[in-house]
Amino acid sequence: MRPPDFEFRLAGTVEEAIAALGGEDGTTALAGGQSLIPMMRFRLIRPSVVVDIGRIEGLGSIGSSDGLLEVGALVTTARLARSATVRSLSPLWAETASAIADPLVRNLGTVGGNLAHADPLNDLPAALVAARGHVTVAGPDGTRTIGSDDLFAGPFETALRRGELITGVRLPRGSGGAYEKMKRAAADYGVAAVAVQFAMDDGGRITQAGIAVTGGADVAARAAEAEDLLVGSDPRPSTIARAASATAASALMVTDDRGSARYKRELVKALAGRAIERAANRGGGT
Amino acid sequence: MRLTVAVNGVTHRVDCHPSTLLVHLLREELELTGTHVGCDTSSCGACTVILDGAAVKSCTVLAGQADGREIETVEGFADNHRLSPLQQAFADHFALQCGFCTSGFLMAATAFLRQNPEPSEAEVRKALEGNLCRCTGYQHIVDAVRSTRTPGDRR
Repeated sequence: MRPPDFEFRLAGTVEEAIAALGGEDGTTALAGGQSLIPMMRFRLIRPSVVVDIGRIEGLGSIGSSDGLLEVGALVTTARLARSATVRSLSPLWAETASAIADPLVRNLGTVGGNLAHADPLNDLPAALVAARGHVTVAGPDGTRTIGSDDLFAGPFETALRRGELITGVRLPRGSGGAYEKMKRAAADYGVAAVAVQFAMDDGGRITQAGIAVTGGADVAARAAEAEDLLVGSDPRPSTIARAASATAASALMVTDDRGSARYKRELVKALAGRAIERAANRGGGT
Repeated sequence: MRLTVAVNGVTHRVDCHPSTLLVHLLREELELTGTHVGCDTSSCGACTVILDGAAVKSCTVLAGQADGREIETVEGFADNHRLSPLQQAFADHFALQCGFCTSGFLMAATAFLRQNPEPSEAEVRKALEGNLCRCTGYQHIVDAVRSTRTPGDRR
C-alpha cells in the first residue's frame, strides 16, 4: 500500500530543515522513516510535505565529552547497539538499542526519530528518562536543550515547537544500567519494558537511580517512588522487591490486544526486579 | 521526481511519484520482481533488499530515500542460471518450501554474513529476526546460512 500523496523535500542542512519544517501546516520530518512510513501507509497521518532530514551531515556521530555520552540524532539504532563507546558509557542505551524492533528496522531507524515519534511503545524514551538525558534541539529561535522529563508531552506528542528538530542526545555516564523487555514475537513491539540506570559509590551503594516504564499510558513513565526507595541503599533482594513493586504501582498500564492492565502491572513488577538486579550487579562491578 | 539508483551494479534513471516505495520502484518501474511484497506492514521481511550495504525492508523506504544509493536484490545473485553458494545452500538444506520469503532471507543473510562470516547459531537467529517464514520452521534456514561460513561479494 502506497502512502497518500505528499510533496518530498530534501533538507541538506539543519538550517534548511528548520526553514522547511517551519513552513506550511502538515509538514513532517523524515529521518529513517521506520515509524513514519508505516503510519502514512496506514493513513494514521497524512502529511502534505515530507522533509527528508536523513542526509544532513554532522548529525551521525557518537562521542563523549565532560563525562557525557553524545549521540547524533541520525545515528541508527543498529550503530547504537554496536558502538563500543555506547557500551562502555551507557550499558542501558546499548542494551535498549539492541532490543528495538528487528535488525532490518534498526538499520534505518534513528535515535532522533525514535524519540521525536514519542510512541509509548518505543524503547528509547524510557532509556532517556532513566538515564536523565537531554536532547539538543535546533529551531527558528536557535538551539536549546530539553530534559528527559520535559520532552514527552503525551503519546505521539513532544515539547518540540514548530520548526524544531532534535539534533542529538546527551547522556550522563551510567555505571549500572539494564533494559528488560517482554515481547510476544521476535520483531513485535514490547508488551512492556523497564529501563534502569544507577550511579553507585565504591561501597556498592546507589547514589542516583533512574527507572522508567515502556508500554504504559504515558510515554516513558518515571517510577519516582521506586527511585527514592533505592537511592542511598545497598540493593539487597528485599529492597529490590520493594522497588519493583513500587515501579509497578506507579505505572499506568492499559488493557489492549497485548494484555490486560492487571497482567501488564505484574509483568512490569517482574521486569523491574530483573532490571534493577542486573543494573546493580553491573554498577557494583560484580 | 527524478532519481538515480544503482541496482545490482546497473545505474537506472527513473521518474516516479514521491509516494513510491522502494519495493514498488524495483518491482513496477524496474520490473525486478524477485523482491516480494508480503505483509505490507513492515513485519515480514519478504521485501528485504541491501541498501548501501545494510539489509532493509524496501516496503518501508521511500524511493526518494534511495536516490543516489546502491541497491542489491536477489536478481544479482545467480550467474547465468548458476545459483550462488548461499542460494545453493538453501536448496541443499531444504530451507524453502513455497519460496515466497526466500529472497528476503537471502538478502538479510547476505548482509549479515559479510559482517560476520562465521556466526554461531544464536547469532544467525538474531540476525534473521526481521524475516518471517511460514513453511520451514526456520531450522533449515539457520542450517543453510551456517553451512556457507565464508563471506562472498555475490552472496
